[in-house]
Formats: sequence, structure tokens, C-alpha cells
Amino acid sequence: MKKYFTSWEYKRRNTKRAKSRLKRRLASKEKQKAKRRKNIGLKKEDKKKKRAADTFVNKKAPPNFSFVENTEAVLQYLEELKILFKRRQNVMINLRDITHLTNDAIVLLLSFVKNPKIVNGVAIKGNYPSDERLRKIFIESGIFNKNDGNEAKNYILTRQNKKAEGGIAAELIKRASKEIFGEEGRCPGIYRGLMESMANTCYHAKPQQIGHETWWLTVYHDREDNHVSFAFIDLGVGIFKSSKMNDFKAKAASLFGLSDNRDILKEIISGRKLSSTKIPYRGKGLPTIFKGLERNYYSNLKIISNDVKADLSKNEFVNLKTEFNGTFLYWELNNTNRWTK
Amino acid sequence: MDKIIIKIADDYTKIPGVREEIEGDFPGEEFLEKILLPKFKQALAEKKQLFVDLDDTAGYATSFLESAFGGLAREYKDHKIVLNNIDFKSEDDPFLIDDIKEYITDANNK
Repeated sequence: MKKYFTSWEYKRRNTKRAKSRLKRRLASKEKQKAKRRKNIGLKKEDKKKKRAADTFVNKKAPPNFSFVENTEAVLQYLEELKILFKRRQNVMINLRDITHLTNDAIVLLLSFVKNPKIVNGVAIKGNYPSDERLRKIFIESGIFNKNDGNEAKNYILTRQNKKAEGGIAAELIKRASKEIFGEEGRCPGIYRGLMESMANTCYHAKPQQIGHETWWLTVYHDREDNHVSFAFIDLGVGIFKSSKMNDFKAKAASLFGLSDNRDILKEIISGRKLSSTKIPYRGKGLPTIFKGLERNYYSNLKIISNDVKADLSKNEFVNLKTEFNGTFLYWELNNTNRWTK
Repeated sequence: MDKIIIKIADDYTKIPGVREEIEGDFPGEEFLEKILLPKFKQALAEKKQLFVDLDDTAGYATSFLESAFGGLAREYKDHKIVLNNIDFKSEDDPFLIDDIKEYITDANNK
């Protein structure tokens, strides 16, 4: 035997190494045992399902799951989901602990998880809120269904398209007016707002690609407050990043010193159009939507796009820390708004 | 003065679209080309007034109204010809007529 193996130094190192290897082996064995113990009594198929489930990253949604009320937290949540999608990591959208929910967050999540370019081919699953009322809303939204959830529901109606569809707008308004006014009617102001929003998506959501971006619209009847809320969304480039808007912003900055998107939005909705800039900007969509509020076509109008959140009913314009790539419009119909039979 | 009447809900559609066909069905440009412009020409030729009944539709997008009525003013390159020979009825939405007149007046301002 070599002299080295009998040396004190070798014996000390070898004992130490053996000790740590044994510890590691026992821990591993214990882990395997625990794993097997968990699967005792499970059928082969269930074991397979369980193994697949273990590959999902559990992402807990913010308890106040409302895009209009808790914008920053919801946007942050979506950003985190996006990062996981990019890494091709399967995701479990965990909604069990949410305590508050509005339809705008549902339509946002819907547009997000049904967009193949965002989802990047990863598997998504989710659970429903433990709160019974919120659970019902979610189930009826069809958000985790394989189909698009286009069937008519009492609670929540969701539609999607790439073009301006008057038939869809008219149908949803008819249902909304029945809930609020007790009979089917027409709301020309809401029709106008919806058609304008759809047209904006069609033309401006993706520069140089007319009719490529999908819009999503959700209509929800809040029975407690007796109002119907309309939440419209597209995940295009957003108001302030459209090519037309870049020219507009450059001129606005040079002539009036406007560089903040909040000021730009105020200028757009005022309808002044910065006529002195001689820019062929003739977009009447957003000014029209704002006018709808003044004319009492609807109430509680909100716009979220890029780094701006605007509550136009309260004349509040806020800068967002997390940017939202898209355009979101929200308003409510209640029994004080205009309608016709 | 005699009138030529267009009732959009009966003569065109109850669900008017937006500006162009590429954006969706029943666009303003199509309404201008197929109905509004021929009827307006007829009204001018017969020295009658064109009366447009806007009621009984689901509503109107701004881009539909601008492309149709603003487009009519652009055809004649003068908004006064249009405003002097056209009249409207809108009981469903009392703001609509003023909006349309504004689009006609602004049509040639670039």
C-alpha cells in the first residue's frame, strides 16, 4: 500500500468526504421516499398528470384584480407572466386568493393569454377564485376554456374581432340596455364609442398592417350598483407609439413644449388638433369618445395607454411606472345616461 | 321646397360601419358612393332639397359621418353647396346634426 493512504492527512480527508457523501445519499433517499409517499394510492394516469403539474410556475395574482383600480399591480403581474412566457416556462395563473375583481382585468388577461405571440407556445393553466361570486364571473368569462368563450352569458359577455363590427356593438348594447332600463334599446353614443375604438384598433394598433390586431370587448352587469361596464382593449402599440402620433408628438414638443404623454393626451381629447402644426392629423376618434362623456352617453370614462392612465370623469391624468403596450378604454352605462327605444 | 329623402336605416343599414371597407362592413365611403352622392346630384339637378333621416339605426361612428358627409363636401370642394342643399332629422341623438355640419364645414380644411 502506498504510504499516502496510511497518512493522517489522507484519513482525515477521506473520513470527511465519506461523511458528507453519506449525508447527501440519505437526504436524496428521504426525498425520493417523500415523493413516493405523496403518490401512494394514485393511479398511473394521475401520477403522470401530477408530474406535468409540477412543471408549472405558480403565479399568484394581485388580490385586487382590477385594471382600472389597481393598474400598476396588474401591469406588474402581466410583466412577470411575460418574462416566464419568454423563458418558455409553463405558468399556473393562481387566482384563488383574489378578493376583488372587475371585468376590465378579465378582458386584459383574456387578450393576453389568447395572444399566441405573447404566450410563446407555453402551456397555461389557472384556477378560479375561492370567493363564490368572483368564481362565477370567471367561469362565465371562459378565460381558461379552450374555446374563445363566445357563447352568450348572463353575467359577462366577451367578443373579439379584428374589424369594426356594428352587429357586435349593437347586440351588446341591446343586452346592456335591457339590464339597465328594463327593455331592449339603443344607445347611439355607446355605439359611436365602440365603433371608433374598433376602427382605431384596425388602423393604428399595428402600423402598416391594417386589420391585423385583435380587439377584445367585455360587457359586465354589476347588479349591486346597477351599471353595465364596457371594457375595450387591444394589445397594439398604444396611442402614443403609433407612427402618426410620433409626428404629432414631435411637432407638439417643438411648438408648445409638450413632451409628457399626459399633456399630449389632453391635447388630443380636446380636439384642438394643434392645427397650427399643419399636420394632417384628423383623428376624431378620441375627441369623440371624450365628448360622449360630456354628452352623458356614458359615465366614468377611463383610458390607459403606454405610460398614461386617465380618469376623464375626474380629469385625472397619471404617469404609469410600468408601461402598458396597448390601448384600454372603459366606461359605464347607468340609468341616468342617454338611450332611445 | 320639394325633398328627396334618404332614410339610412331603410335605404342602407341599421348598423353603419366606419370609414373604409377594409375596416368593416357598411362603411361611410360606400354609403357616399352608392347612395348619398347620387341622391345629392339628383337633388341639385331637380332643384330639390336632400333630406337625410338619421334615426332608427344603432348609431354612427364619427369616421362614417366624416367620410360620408365630409366626403360629399370634398366632392364639391365647397361646403356651402352641401350645407345649402341638405337637411337632417335626428331625434335619437340631438347632437348628431351639429356634428355632421361641423364635418361638412371642416372637410376641405387640411
